[in-house]
Amino acid sequence: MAEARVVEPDLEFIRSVKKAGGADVKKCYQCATCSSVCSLSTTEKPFPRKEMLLAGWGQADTLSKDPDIWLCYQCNDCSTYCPREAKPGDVLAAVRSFVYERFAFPSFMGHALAAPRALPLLFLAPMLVIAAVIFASKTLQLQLSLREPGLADAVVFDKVFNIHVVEPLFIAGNILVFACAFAGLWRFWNQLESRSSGAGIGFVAGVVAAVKDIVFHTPFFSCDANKTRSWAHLMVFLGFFGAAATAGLGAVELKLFHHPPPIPLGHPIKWLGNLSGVLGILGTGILLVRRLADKESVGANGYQDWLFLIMLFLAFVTGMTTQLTRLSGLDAAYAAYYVHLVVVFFVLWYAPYSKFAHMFYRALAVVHAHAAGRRRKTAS
Amino acid sequence: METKIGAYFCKGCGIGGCLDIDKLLKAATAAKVPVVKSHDILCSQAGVDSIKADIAGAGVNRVSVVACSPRVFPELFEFGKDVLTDRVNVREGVAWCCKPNDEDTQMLAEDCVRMSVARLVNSAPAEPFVEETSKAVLVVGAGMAGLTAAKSAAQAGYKVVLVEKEERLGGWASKFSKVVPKGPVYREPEDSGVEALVQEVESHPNIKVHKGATVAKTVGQPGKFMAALEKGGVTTEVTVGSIVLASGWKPYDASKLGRWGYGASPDVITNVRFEELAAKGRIMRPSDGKPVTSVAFIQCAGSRDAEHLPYCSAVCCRVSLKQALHVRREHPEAKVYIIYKDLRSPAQYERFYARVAEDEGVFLTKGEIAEVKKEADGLISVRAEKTLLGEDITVRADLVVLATGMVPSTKVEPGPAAAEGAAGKTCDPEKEGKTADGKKEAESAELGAKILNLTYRQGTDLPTLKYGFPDSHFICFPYETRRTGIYAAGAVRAPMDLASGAGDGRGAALKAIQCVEAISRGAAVHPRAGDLSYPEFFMQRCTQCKRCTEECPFGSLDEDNKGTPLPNPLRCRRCGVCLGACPERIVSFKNFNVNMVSKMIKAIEVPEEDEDKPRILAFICENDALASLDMAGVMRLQRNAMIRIIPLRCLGSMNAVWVSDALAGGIDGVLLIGCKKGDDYQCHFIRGSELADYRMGNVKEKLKQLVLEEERVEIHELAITDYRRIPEIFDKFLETIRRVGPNPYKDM
Repeated sequence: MAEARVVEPDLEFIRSVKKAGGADVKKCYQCATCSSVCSLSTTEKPFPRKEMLLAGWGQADTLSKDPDIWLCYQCNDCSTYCPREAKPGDVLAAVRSFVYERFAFPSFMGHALAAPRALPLLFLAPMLVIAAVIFASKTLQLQLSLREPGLADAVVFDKVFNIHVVEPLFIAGNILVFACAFAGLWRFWNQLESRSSGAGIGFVAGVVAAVKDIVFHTPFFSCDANKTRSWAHLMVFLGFFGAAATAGLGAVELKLFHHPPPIPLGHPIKWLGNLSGVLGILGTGILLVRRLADKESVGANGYQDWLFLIMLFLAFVTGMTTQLTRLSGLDAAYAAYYVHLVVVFFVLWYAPYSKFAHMFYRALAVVHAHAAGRRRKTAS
Repeated sequence: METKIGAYFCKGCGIGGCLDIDKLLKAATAAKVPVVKSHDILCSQAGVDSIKADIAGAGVNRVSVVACSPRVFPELFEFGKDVLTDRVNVREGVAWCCKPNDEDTQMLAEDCVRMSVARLVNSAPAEPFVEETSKAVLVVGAGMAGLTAAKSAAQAGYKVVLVEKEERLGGWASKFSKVVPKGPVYREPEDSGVEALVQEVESHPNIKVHKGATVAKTVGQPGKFMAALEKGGVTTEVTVGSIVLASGWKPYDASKLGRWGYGASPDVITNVRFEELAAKGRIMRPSDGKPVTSVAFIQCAGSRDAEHLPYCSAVCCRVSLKQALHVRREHPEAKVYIIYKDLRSPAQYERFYARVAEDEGVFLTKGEIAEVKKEADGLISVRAEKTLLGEDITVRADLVVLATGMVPSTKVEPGPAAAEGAAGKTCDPEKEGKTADGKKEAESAELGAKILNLTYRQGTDLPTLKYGFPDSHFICFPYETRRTGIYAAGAVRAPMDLASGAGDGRGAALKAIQCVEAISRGAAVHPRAGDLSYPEFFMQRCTQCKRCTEECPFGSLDEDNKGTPLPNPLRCRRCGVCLGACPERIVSFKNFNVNMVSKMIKAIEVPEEDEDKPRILAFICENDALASLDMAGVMRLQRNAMIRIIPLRCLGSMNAVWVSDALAGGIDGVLLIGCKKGDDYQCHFIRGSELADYRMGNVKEKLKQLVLEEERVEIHELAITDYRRIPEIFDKFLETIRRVGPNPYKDM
């Protein structure tokens, strides 16, 4: 007789999904209303109906390999129409959180980001590191007074946060973080591949197609509900990459052209930075307000959702505050910069384990979807 | 007393505008009706008063109301027990459905009047059969349904005798630790509450409880049942008016469930066994006594399955949900799988389903069970195909619970038991079946298990429907069995839960009370509730052919050893099947008899052959078809005016001689319209329409003798909702008759 897969539900997985925002996962009674309203659903893959059942049955392994959960941008049509109020949109978000945690390398970091009680410790790390930076800067430039003669009333960050300390730290940290993220992503990719049937457009073409999708937010905008959210996300997305580009170009200015910061206000890099900052503040601000005000269409607000969004918002706001206080010549600029650095390091270093990781996992899943021919059907 | 007919014609509701009332009055006068009057609105106070004045002043004692359907204002035209009223329906039956001011329509109405006169001349007001009767109720079985029935009847002031074969009352309910929720908010299992009910019943002054007793024998008829209760060899006789059979259910024989792993391991158990384990406390694995941490429930194990129980037992899904919760409560890490065909948790029980399904340790999926086997590590693996997970899966569990269905206690298991039942009775059920319709009866209605041990000519217990339930018509007549005065309640009637069982007990108690009250007045019970007529047998002419004793759907007629019928009028439901059966025409009711109908047929004027006015006689069942005809009239569905209607108590009361009378008298064709027959019959007297169909054989024989075409007689089944089909049936038959040509006996 044929052998069938032995199904062993994982109660801990169900509990973690419930805790991470999918509290109503077991309410699903498989009516398929969600599949009939979801543009990702195909006849062979009743999405997210099947995912709901797998989650309810505690099928952590199957779901971890499921690229479809990453193609969902949580427009929440499913949750809106669900007659059982099982909120598939939230369940999928919770499952995604579970996946960052599961593939996290090192794995204790995954658990730390998912646990609110680890938060003080997580803050403490960048705080201490930046404090060490100040200490190192002081040792290097002890002879200098805070305000340089001739440059009266100007705030010079370099004196407190020596650029030659911050820069390598930032770059080395990023390399480490990306290595860790890569380790997790490698495991994820292999899982995806293990279930892939091939017959797609290939990896390179997949990457190209995925980049197009991501930059233009095409699938995002195909969600009927939540257009505001799509715009806000696009703003945050552009703001973030704009800010990242600003930082990169700043480093290029310093290393290649030996132009120490600050970059003058009229410089194009500065324009890019400020534009990104404004976009970022607006985008994250809209998303935050929506989360607070429109619970119905946003869905559940898990700990990871709040943590990620607030930190991102703070990163943009502190960046802008730092600039403004600096230009105003206030001493508070040093404090603002300190906070900004802590927040930015927090966001970047914990990226592979926090909701930030959706950037990597989702991007990879979209690449995989294109490459392996699992491209979502276009909303018609 | 001499009969004096008064015919009263109503001109209202469009009758006057369609028919020539003066000509109708003349037709009545020509039919020798001494008092003939018309009124603009006969149902008005003035109209009714004019009839009453003639009854009081002119000695009228037969009233023909030529107006609307007898279903309209039925009481308005009742004038006491000495006055016989006939309602001639020229409104729905003529004015509203036939061409107005037309010669054929007028002729139809005149025939209706003449037939009414013939009916009134040849019948008399019913005289009830009244005897000294008991109003006590015997309740057999003290489970939830029986206890509730006993309590309800006792509270209504009736004496109750309650018999329970076990030593304690309570039935299944007393064996379950918790039961599915019985009321709002339908979320948590509850106590059954049966202990309090038992206490109430045992202490009620109107209830006499016999524990550990069985019914050794039941003789007699409603109102005069004599039951011999046996306990430890001692017999007590009780006299009761009616009986509630609440003998409950038994679990389906698990030994037949090998396909679902029963017997493969002691850890494969039934849901009933689970209840026994749960009542003892913590659920332990039967094989090694270890605590159970995973359980797989297999739904429909032997249910909704042609090879086992073909029906759904209604409760097993909810029971498994309840048991799943029990497991989960004992063990927070326990995993419970429920694999079902369809999870049926209807109506408010949806809330209970949702509550259990939301438990994180309960896993539900549709699936087909492919294999259940014991693994080397002691676990039982269940392989299910076509699951909701989109693949075939195997789940492994400490314990497998088979959700087995309910079998009515009246069900006789095929095999030795049935053979014994057939041999040990005064009458052979096979033979009974064969004489009725030649083939199907034995399958569709087997004689149930011996519980009441009746002494009826037709057998010792209640005839059952297809699946062994003693119900007679589950939709229209709940609680009714095929033995008058005996009502089934609870899971013996249909699979049901405790709450429904309690409701059933109340319902059946009310039926039992209605019965003893009606019987005490000599009135019929359902469906001819209140009918005071009863069949009389002119024994001198009986040829002891046994047709009536075999065909009576309610076993009213016993017989002596020569085969002479011994009527039990109190068992009778007045369907007239005996009247239809009797070739000697010795059975008659005061207001319905062979002669009366023959005279009504003769009253139809048959025009000459060259007039091209065919005449068709339709015998219509009063229960559904006649009402359906009324509805067709109300809907103004037009039909031809060649058809003359004679309503019958049941198509089974049609005596074949009437067809011969009609055809010999020049009527061109005969239509028979009754209820649906077969396993899912709609017949209000169970077998009437089947018997009518069977008698069609005799009718065809008669046609051959008369050298007439077979097409001249047609039989149709018509449900009450089928009124739209009526014009088609009527007009098509007229076409057939026109094609076949006029009846050659017309001019003789």
